[in-house]
Amino acid sequence: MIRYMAALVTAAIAGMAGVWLALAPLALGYPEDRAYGSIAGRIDLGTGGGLCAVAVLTGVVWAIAWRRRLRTDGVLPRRTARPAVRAVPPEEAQTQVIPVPEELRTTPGAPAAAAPGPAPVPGTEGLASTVTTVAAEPERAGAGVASAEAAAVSGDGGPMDLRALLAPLVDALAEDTARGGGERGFAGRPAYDYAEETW
Amino acid sequence: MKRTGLAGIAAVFAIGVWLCAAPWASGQQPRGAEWTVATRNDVWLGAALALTGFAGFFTTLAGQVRELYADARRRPGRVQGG
Repeated sequence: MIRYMAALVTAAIAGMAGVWLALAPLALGYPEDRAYGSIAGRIDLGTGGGLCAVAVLTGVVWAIAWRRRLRTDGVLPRRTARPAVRAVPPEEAQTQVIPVPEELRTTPGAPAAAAPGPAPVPGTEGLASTVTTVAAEPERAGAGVASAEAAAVSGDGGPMDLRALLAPLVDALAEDTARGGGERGFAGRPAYDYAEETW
Repeated sequence: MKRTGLAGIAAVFAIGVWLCAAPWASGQQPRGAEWTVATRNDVWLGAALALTGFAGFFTTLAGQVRELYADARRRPGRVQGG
């Protein structure tokens, strides 16, 4: 600890000496009409400025070294990274399970379960049947979507608006299915076979 | 980091030596003539700075060596006795 103190004291003395050197031509009244115009004045100003810079640099370096040492020895508490997000209480952190309609859970072509599932989300009535139709008969899906689009444009409102919103997506899905299941997936990667659960 | 700090203290010593020699090195103080105010200021301040830098340098160096010995003693089987 003594060495850090000695270094900081040395830096402080050097800083004060530098300030004094820079001001000495004015304080002592060096010869010549201007204090900083003489050789001695210019030397003192330059040396004092350099001494101040060295003193500041030395003081900062030793102060950082001392802090590090104090942290290593456990005198100062170690720095800990602040959490980026607020910690979520356990009661809020419970996952909310949204029930999926039974129609959407069945595979295309398979009979729907006898027991009725939970009530569908408002506004999605008929969406399950559209998806099933697209997956089973892609040739016919285009026409179905077109008719749904026309109905939405006519201003029926409600579920038809949602259909009109999803029409381009369903259309693209129908085209992709019509191409034979898609040999290539996104960005040239092999497509995932959902039935076989393989790539 | 510590080397930079030691170099800074050594620079203080070097600046002190330079200040002592500056009046003659720059030619502002003729040899044999009476010392001017600037010469006296530079020489006394330079001597004080050189002394401070010298003492500070060796104090920090001694502290570092002492710390090295203490660290070596903490590791078993490195330094015997002391």
